[in-house]
Amino acid sequence: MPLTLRKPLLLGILLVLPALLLSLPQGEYQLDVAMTVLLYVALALGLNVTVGLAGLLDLGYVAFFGLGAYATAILMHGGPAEAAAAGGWSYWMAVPAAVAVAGFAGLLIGLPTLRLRGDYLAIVTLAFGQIAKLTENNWDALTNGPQGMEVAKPVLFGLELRAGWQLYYILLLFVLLTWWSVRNLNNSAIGRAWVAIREDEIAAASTGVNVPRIKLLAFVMGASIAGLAGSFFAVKQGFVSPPSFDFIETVTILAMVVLGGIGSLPGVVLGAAMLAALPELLRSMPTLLGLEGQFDVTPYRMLLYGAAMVVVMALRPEGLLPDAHRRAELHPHEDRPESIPGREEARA
Amino acid sequence: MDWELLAQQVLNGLTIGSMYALIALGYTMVYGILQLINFAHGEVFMIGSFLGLGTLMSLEKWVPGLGVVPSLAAALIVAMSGAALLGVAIERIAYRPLRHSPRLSLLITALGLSIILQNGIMLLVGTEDRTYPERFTEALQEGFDLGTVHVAWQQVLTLGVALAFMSALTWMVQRTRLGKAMRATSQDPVTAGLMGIESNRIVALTFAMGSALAAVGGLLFGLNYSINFFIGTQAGLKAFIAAVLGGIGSLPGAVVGGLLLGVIEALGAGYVSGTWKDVFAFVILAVVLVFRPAGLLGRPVVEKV
Amino acid sequence: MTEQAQQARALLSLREVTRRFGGLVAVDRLSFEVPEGGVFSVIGPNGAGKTTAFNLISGLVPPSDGQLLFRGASIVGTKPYELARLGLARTFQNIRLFGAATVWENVAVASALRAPTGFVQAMWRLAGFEASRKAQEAAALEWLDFVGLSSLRNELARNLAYGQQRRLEIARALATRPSLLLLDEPAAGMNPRETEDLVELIGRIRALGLTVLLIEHDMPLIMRLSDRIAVMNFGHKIAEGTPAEIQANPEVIKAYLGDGEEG
Repeated sequence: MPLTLRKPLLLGILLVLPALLLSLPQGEYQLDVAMTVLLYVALALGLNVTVGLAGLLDLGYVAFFGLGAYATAILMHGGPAEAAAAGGWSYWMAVPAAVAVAGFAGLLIGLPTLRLRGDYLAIVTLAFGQIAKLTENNWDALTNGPQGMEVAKPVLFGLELRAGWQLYYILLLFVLLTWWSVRNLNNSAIGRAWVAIREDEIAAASTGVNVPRIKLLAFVMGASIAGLAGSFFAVKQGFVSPPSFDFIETVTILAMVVLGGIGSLPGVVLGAAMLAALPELLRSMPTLLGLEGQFDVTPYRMLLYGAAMVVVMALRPEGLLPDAHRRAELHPHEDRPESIPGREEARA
Repeated sequence: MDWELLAQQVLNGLTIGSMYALIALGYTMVYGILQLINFAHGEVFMIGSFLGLGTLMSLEKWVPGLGVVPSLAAALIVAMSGAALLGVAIERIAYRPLRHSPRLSLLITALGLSIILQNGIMLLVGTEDRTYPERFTEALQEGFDLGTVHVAWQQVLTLGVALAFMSALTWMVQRTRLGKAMRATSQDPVTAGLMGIESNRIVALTFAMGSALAAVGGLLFGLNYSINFFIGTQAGLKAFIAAVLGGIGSLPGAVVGGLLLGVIEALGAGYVSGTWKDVFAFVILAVVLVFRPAGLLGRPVVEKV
Repeated sequence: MTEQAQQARALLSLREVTRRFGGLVAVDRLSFEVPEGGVFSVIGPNGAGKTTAFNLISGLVPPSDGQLLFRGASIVGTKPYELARLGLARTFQNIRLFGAATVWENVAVASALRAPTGFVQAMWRLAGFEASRKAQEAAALEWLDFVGLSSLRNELARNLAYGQQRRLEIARALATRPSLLLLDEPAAGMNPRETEDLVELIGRIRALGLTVLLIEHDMPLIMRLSDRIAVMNFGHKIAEGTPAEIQANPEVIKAYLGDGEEG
């Protein structure tokens, strides 16, 4: 298929997907799975900016997702009844606020740690993830602790959006916005600076790249995208509680990025789609084998993610869809054919 | 001010802190030689703790009359050798093939490995809390009163064993040929190699020693608290913070950092709030990283160009 | 000439610069002045402290003591990326390219310094984005043309041959539009033909009006290219002068013969 047709086709499928799925017998459930996959695509795109493009291992990523979700829930003042009574924010105002809260938290975490070695960032973000969860569990007045909070549905022109397909389109809009923004950054001076830092920080600095600032941008960008995903997650579930933001989720998203291909946008989308659909398959497996109800797949899933990380790093560090061969080519003089002698020279 | 409470909390803090210190030594040793944070180290501690439990339970079953001290000695030997083997295997299988890869690859491998170990153990032993056989923990809960402060044998044992192993390590690194080879390799592996030091052997040995020390910590932990497959994450994090607090790469730093962190946590839990106990360690980490990234006893590191 | 007049003319001045690593003094009270224009070389046996001197100048290592002035202003404590903005660029002895990026992207990272793109501007293609992008790409191509690599622009940097990688590093440094270019052993590992190309390239760089500060082992190359030479040994400067003066200096000959280094 010509490359130019691929994108419109994919977009078309995504646009009519709800109609297709809802015509199936278990349509509502299928649509829910589709939304889960898309949500992970958004999350993986965000983590890919931090880990894949800039080479910063963020192990507290899911905490930013949680911040976005809780910020949304708190600003909208909980469930539908209270929201109306207490004059909570509308969803559309809560979204940018949730993004800003997550991004600002990224700034606060990133500022002191990003000038240190990469290993420190990994540990500090891991610790941040734990603090965030501890706070969600214990700050009862704000988060209602382990009981969690109800969240109202978004309202558009006086219409409450509660059907699956309505929420799907909100999510699709967010995912497309994320994808477009990340792709634009990736193909710009900012994206080149990220890659430069990932490849050789000292050389990047000597080439005039403002290393602390560019790293911070990557970190805050990743956190903001997680915040955006979180704000959608809150209204989709209609409920937020601490277990949704466990370290396991960060591991899952990281496994998606690693498996698909660190730094590669199509790779990350593929990795997210594969691993997000996997639990659904695993879930149906015990049923198929007649083991229903006596079988917890979570540890096997985690083992699989851990093994995927070790094996991919050892055997195919660039993942399933590598980035390197897809970098934008520069053709300033389209009339001048790609010079053959030059290519030979390169191999000599 | 209530001096008895203060003294009691300091004692409790030193006890937990000595376990942090034992784990922190492994982080710092590996970091000193490979500039790598061994994420899987916390899991080695957890597995060491389970090896101790397994040994004690087997002895209860097969050699019912064996005394407390020989049993504990056997558990210590099994836990230390098992952990040392595990540490060497981790280095061999996961890290050595990637020594010339980007740092990110190493970090991801280390993380993947710790996930595998943690969930593997969970599948083996289940999710519930386990305690060491009562015979050992009960005997150790007794103790003596120092004024109004109660000192349990557990605490004496923990502090004593931890200090003994830390002194042995310090002696080894400072005084023996092997220790000199380790220090040389950590300063400049290439030159050390030219001097006839086999750096791969030294690295493997570092992992073995660090892991064995973590297992000592694991056994002591099991004598003081209940254990489960998840203890490695928290303990590993705390020990890492201890290593950073003391100055990563510095052996005395790891000990000072561990003890200090234990005391600060115990005081925080006693005087401020038990719920937020875990937050204190992280706040300390943040403060150290902002104001003194090289730690209390560390020297600032200049990256080689 | 008065000292002040000389100061005004010097592009880069080192005054009593010292750098200690633990007990080792890698650079010991080193002083020299690099005038604007021409090629200034620093030579010396292995381990004489040349690369440390370069790392001090380019801000990668802070001095333990002494003063570093660029255009008369102190640059002690100035970050490497700020130095690049001030007009100081460098290459590395062990080549440091962005291997997974293409050849043109390597240079475009540098050309973005003089035609920056804002973050939000890049993210949402706002006004001004296209202009900065075109400026970066045009400059990248221009410098690739200058070093003769434009036909390889879409190759990955790590796939280039050794001599080409050296030239790419020079193109990347040039694209930051420096007034002072530091070249750290640019001829190391090159065959005679590549070295000839390098001499020609450095000649053209100097013709652009740039000042070149060069560390090199290849003595014939140094003697052909340099306007002025400083000689280091054991962290000290033992001589400074024109190539002819240096070749006749007994101290220099002793330092080189004493170390068994070919000169």
